[in-house]
Amino acid sequence: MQYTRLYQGSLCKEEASSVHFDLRCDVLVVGAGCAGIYCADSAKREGADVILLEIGENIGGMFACGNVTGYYYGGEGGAYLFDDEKTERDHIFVRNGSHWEQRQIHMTERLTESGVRLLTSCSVLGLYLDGCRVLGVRAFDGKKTLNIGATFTVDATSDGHLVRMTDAKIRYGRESDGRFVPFTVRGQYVSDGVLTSCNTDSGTMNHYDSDAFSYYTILSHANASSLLKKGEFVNLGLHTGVREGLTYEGEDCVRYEDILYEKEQQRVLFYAYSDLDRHGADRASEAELFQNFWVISNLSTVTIPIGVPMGALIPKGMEGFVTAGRCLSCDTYSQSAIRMNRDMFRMGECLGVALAMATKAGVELLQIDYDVYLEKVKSRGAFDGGHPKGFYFDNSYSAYKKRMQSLGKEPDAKYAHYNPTDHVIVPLHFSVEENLPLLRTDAPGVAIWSCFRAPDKKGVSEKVYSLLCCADTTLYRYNCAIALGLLGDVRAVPTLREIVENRDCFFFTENRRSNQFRSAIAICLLGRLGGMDELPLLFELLEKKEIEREMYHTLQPNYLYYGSPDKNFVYYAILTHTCASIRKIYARHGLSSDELKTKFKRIFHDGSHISFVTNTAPGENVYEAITSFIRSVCTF
Amino acid sequence: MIYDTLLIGCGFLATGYATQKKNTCIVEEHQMCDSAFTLTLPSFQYTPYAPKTAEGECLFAIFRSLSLFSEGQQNTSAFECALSKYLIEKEIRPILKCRVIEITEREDGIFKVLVQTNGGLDTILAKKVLHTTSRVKKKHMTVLFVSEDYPSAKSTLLSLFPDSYTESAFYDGRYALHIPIANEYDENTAKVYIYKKWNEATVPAKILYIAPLFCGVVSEEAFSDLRFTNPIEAFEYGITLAKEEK
Repeated sequence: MQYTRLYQGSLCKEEASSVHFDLRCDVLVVGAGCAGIYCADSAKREGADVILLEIGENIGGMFACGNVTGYYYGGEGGAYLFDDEKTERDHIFVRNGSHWEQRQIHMTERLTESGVRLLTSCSVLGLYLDGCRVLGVRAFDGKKTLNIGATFTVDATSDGHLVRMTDAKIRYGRESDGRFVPFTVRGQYVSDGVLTSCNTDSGTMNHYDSDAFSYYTILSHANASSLLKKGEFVNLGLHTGVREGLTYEGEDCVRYEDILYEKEQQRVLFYAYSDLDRHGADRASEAELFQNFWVISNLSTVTIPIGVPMGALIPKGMEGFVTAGRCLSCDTYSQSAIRMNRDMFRMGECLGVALAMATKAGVELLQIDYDVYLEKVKSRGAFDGGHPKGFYFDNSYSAYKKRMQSLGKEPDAKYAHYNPTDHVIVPLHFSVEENLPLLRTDAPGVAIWSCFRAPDKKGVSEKVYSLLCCADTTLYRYNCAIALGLLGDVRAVPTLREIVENRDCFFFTENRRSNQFRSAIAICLLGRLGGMDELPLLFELLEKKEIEREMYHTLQPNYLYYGSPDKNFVYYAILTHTCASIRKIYARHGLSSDELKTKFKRIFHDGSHISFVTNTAPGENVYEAITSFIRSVCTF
Repeated sequence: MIYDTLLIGCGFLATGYATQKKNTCIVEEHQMCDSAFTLTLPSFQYTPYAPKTAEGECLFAIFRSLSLFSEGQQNTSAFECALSKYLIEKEIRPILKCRVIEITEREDGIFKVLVQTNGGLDTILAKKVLHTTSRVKKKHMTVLFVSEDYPSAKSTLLSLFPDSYTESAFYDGRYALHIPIANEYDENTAKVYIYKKWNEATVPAKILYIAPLFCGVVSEEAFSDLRFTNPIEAFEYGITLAKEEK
C-alpha cells in the first residue's frame, strides 16, 4: 500500500504498511457541497454505508456558504426539489432563489434522516492506494488524524484536491494561457425590503497558489465594501466563488465540440443543462471554436442538455475513485457549462445511486448494469433535467417573436398570452435554408452558425457569396460577409475590411445579454483570413486618437453585458480583438514576433489604453484584466 | 525561510501585532481575514474606543469611511471589508484557508508547523508561534432577525430560548439574538435546532440569517479578538503585545 500526499507542490509517495483504518464505509464523499451532499444521501438511501467529510464547519458549498442562492439554468428534477419545496420562499424578502440558510437546514435534515455520517471540520491530508486503487484517506478532524477506509472515495471538493494527490494527468485553465474564468465573491444586501445577492466578478487567479488565493480574496472583500452603499449590508459569502478549477484525463471526456456537434455519449450518468457561457469578457483569447459559436455567431444564450458520461468522473486508470461536482474530465469550455447548482445536485444524486449499485455488485462504476441504473435515476427524476436533446434559445418572448417573423413564421400559439418580456425557451434548428432569411436582420447568429455547421461548406459558401453580391441593404451584405468569413472564404475579406473601416458600436440582438459588436466580429475574422494588407488598418485601431471616435461613447442604454458600468466594452472588444488578429496575421505570414512585441510595447508604453478601457484603479478587477491582457500581448 | 513569529488566526489583534513585526506570518483557517467578528457576530453594540496609535487611527479612519460605527452601534457584519481594506493598504498578506495540522519543535527551538492550504500541504518555520484563536467557553449562536414588533418578538424569543439575550443590530428593524448552544451541537445541527424551535412557535419575526460560527466567551488571558467588543481596541492590543516583546 502507498500513502500519497501533495506536499510543497509535489506529489509525495511513501510505502504504508499495516494501516489501521479508524473508520470504514462503502462510499466516502469528501466535500459537503451541492454534489457531495446529494451523492452521499442517495448512496445511503440506496443501501450503501456512507461517510461525508467537510473541511469547514458549515455544509452546503457555494449554494449555502457562497451566497449563490438562485438557480441559473441547470436541469430540473430529483431529490433537491423536495428540499426546495420545504424551503420557505419569501417573495417579499428574497429577490431570487430560496433562502440559502433554510435550504442548508433541509440539506442537514436530509443527511440526518438518511443516516449519512457527517464529519465537519475534517480535511483529507492524503490517500491510501494499492496500485491504481484508492483504498481510503488520511484525514484531520481539527484535533487528530484518522484513517478512513472506503470501497469508493469521491472527490467532491470542486477543485480536485484529492485528484491532485494521484498520478492523474491534470490540466489547469484555458489552453492558450492556463487562465481560469474569473472568480467572484458574492455579497448580499437588502434594498427596498428585498434581499439581493450579487457577484463582484473579481478577476482571475490561480487559486491553487495559496498566496494568490489569499491576496485576491482579501482584495475582493475590500472592494466589496461598495455594497455598503447599495443598501443594508447583510454578508459576504463564506466561500470564495471559484468558478473553474482543474480538469483531468478521465476514462471519458466531455468536450465543447462534442456538445456543439451533439455527439452521442456512452453510459451517460445524467444530463446537465446550461448555456455555453464562460465568465469574463476576454473573448479575443478564447479558442477558435468557442469564438465561432459565442462571438461570431453571437449565440451566448443558446442552451443545450449536455450528456455527462460516467467515464468523465473517473480519472483514467483509477479504481475506487471518482469525482463529483464541477471537477471532471472535460475541456475548459464544457466545464463552464457543467457547474450549475441544480446540475450539481442531480449529478451527485445520480452518482450516489451508481456507487451504491457498484458497491453492492462488487464492481467498478463502469461495470454496473446500465439499464437498471437508468431505471433508478429516471424514477427519481434526476436523469435528464426536463429538456429533450437539442438546442434552445433562451430569451424574451419579443425576441422569439421577432425571429419567427423574420423567418416568415408565426410564433407558437402556446405563447399567445405571453408578455414581451416574458421568458421563453424554444427549440432551435440549424437548417441553412430555413435560417438564411435571418441574415437580413440584426439577429443573424442562427443563420451564421447554420452555415458554419452545414456539411456542404463549399456549396453554402457559394450560396452566401451570391447573396452577398446581390444584397440590397448594408446590414444584409455585412451579415453575409460574416457568415462567409466564418466559412473560411477569403471573398469575405473586402466587406469585412469595409465593416472595420466604417466601424461602429452596432451589436447583434439575439441574446438578452452579452451581444457581440459587429466591428469586433469583423476584426476577429480579418485576423483569420486577412493578409498583410490588413495590418495598417488594424494598427490604426490601436492609435490613441481611436478613442475619440463617437462609437466608443454612445453605447445604447439597452446594451447589457453583465451591467458593468466601469468598463468601455466597445473599446475593450475592439482593442483585444485587434491585438489578437495582428498576432495571428504575423504568425501566419512568418513575420517576426519580436518585432511585433516591440511594436506593442511602444504602443502601450504609457498605459493610456488602460484608461480608455476603464476608470477603475490599480488592484480593481477591470483594471487588472486589461493590464494583464496588454502585458500578455507585449510578452508572448 | 524562518519567520520570527507565526500567528495562527488572522483578525484585528493579529493584524495589529503584524504591523510591529517585520518578519511575521499570519495564517487563517477560514476564507475571511476576520472570522471572530464577521463570522460570529458577537455584538452590535459599539463600545467607544479612541485609538492611541497612528496605525489605530488609520484603521479607525477606514471604519469611519465605511460608516461602520453609528450612534452606539457597530455594523459587525461588514468588519471583514474594513480589515481587508487595511490589509491591502498596508500590504500585509495573511494566508487564508490555511489549516494548522501539526506543530513540532526542532532541537534548535524552531517550530515546524505543518499546514494545509489550497495548494496542498506545506511547512512553515517560525521562532515563535502565537495562537490568536481560542477555545470558546459556553458557546453561543447569533441569529439576525427582522421584526416590526420587537418587544413582542423579544419576549417570545427569550422564553423560547432560555438564557439568551437580544440587542439591536445596526439597521432599523434588525435585531440579534444570542442563544447559548449545548456542546453536542455543531454549527449545522445548531441551526436546525434554532429553526425548528422558531418555526414551531409563533414568533413575530423572520430570521435574516445565522452567524456561520459559534461565538462565546474566551478566557481573559487569551490572545483573541473575542476578548474585545471593539475591533480597534483588539487591533491596538496586538500592537501593544508586539511592542512589549521588543
